[in-house]
Amino acid sequence: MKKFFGIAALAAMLALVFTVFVLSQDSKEEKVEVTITAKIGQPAPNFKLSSATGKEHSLSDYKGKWVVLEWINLQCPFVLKHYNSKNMQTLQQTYTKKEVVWLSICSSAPGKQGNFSGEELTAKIKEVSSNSTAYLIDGDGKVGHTYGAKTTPHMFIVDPKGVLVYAGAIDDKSSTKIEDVKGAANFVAAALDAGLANKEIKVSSTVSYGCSVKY
Amino acid sequence: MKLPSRKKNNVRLSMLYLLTALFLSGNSVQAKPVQAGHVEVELISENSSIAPGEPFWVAIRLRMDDDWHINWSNPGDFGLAPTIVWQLPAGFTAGEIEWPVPERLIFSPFVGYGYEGEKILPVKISPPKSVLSGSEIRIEAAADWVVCGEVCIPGGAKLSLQLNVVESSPLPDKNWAHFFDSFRKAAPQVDSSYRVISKLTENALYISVARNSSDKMQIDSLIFYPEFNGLIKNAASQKLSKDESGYVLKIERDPLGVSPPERLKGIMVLRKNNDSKTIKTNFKFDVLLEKK
Repeated sequence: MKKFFGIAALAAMLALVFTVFVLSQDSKEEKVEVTITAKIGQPAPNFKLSSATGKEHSLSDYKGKWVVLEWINLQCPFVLKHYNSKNMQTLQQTYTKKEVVWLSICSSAPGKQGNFSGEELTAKIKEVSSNSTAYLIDGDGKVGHTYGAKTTPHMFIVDPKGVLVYAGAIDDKSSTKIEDVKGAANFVAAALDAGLANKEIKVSSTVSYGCSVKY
Repeated sequence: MKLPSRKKNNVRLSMLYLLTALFLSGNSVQAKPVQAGHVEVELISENSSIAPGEPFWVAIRLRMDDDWHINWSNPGDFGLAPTIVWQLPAGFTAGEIEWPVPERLIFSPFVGYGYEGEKILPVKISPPKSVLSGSEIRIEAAADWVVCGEVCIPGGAKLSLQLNVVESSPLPDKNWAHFFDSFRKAAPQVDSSYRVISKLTENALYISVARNSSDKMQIDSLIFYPEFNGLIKNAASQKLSKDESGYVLKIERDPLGVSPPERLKGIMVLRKNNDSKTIKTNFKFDVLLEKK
């Protein structure tokens, strides 16, 4: 009996020693945990945002159409690469002509880079000659967080059924150089071309590149 | 040193020659650092001269202003890795950038991988045997980078360096050799004394690290730096736990992640607290990524 207790005690001690314990190597750094609900192949989370002209836009308004979500910050050099080269405006024009809805979304918090409002915003949009359907203001960053928008630019495509079919980079040349636009493989154009032709979207997820979204 | 006064003029004259010579040679051997935005950039060489056929090391030295950084080969959530385009004399070849161990740069809710303070990005240059002793060669590097703090600013510079070719063994450049020494001491290396196993589930990446020998592994923290971007959520806390043979890191996958790579490659940084000192070591690894 004594021996049994001895073994049991030993076993208990061993169990204690071998219990997997999580070591505390996390410092205060990483408190902000963000829930991303958008997922490729799943219904894209709905949202309602006001545009630069004060009009409300919901994703659900556009059911039955292809929708592009473009995370934007007009002071970010990676965004300016695509606007100064007219790459973005050309894409916007090409696809809105094909009945695609193009929503530029700015999740820059007030006071942060790229956050504009009122006349200043109107002037900025005019300055870059944007051809998007609307420029939406997500000042509290809720929509950006829901989609897991990391960078500007960060591109998302929603199909006519409301399913998220692409998330990632605009193209395969991560740089800030205008000359790199030419010759880059544009993932958004490829996905939209395939989608509009009822073909399979071959690349549905890539790593976006750019400035961090200024939440 | 006291000099006879009657020789003063001559001395002055020779001083002038000397200074001119120094100035000229100083200028030709070493280009000045370039100040660009929040970073100072310079092309440096470990040795003050080179020998025919003997590879040598040069580097882009970067010194960032406080709170600004440049990125590692994998920038993490934002930013961009610096690039170098070399223009070398005929027959010379340049290797890839040997990246120092990066740091996790927290810009909540994002994490970037990169460097703060002063860093060098070394590159090995191999000259041909045919390069003539007594000649001078010129190395040019077009460096491009994006320096990030709260915001990111792209920058670029054309840097150059002139080096003499000598028959004898090249001498280290006193100004810069210690940068290369410290780089080598901390450079990520493959270490066969560690056994790494990686597993990928639907939501997480698990990396087990143990010693190959019977040596007990005792650490206080373990940080994984992935070569591949888009597999893990860079900002996720890397949860360390102990098991019978070593340690396990559990890291959340990137929810919008791209297709996982065949192999898991990266750097592990191990920290151990010893009394008041923290001992930091690292190793580089490349293992099969098991999928479950």
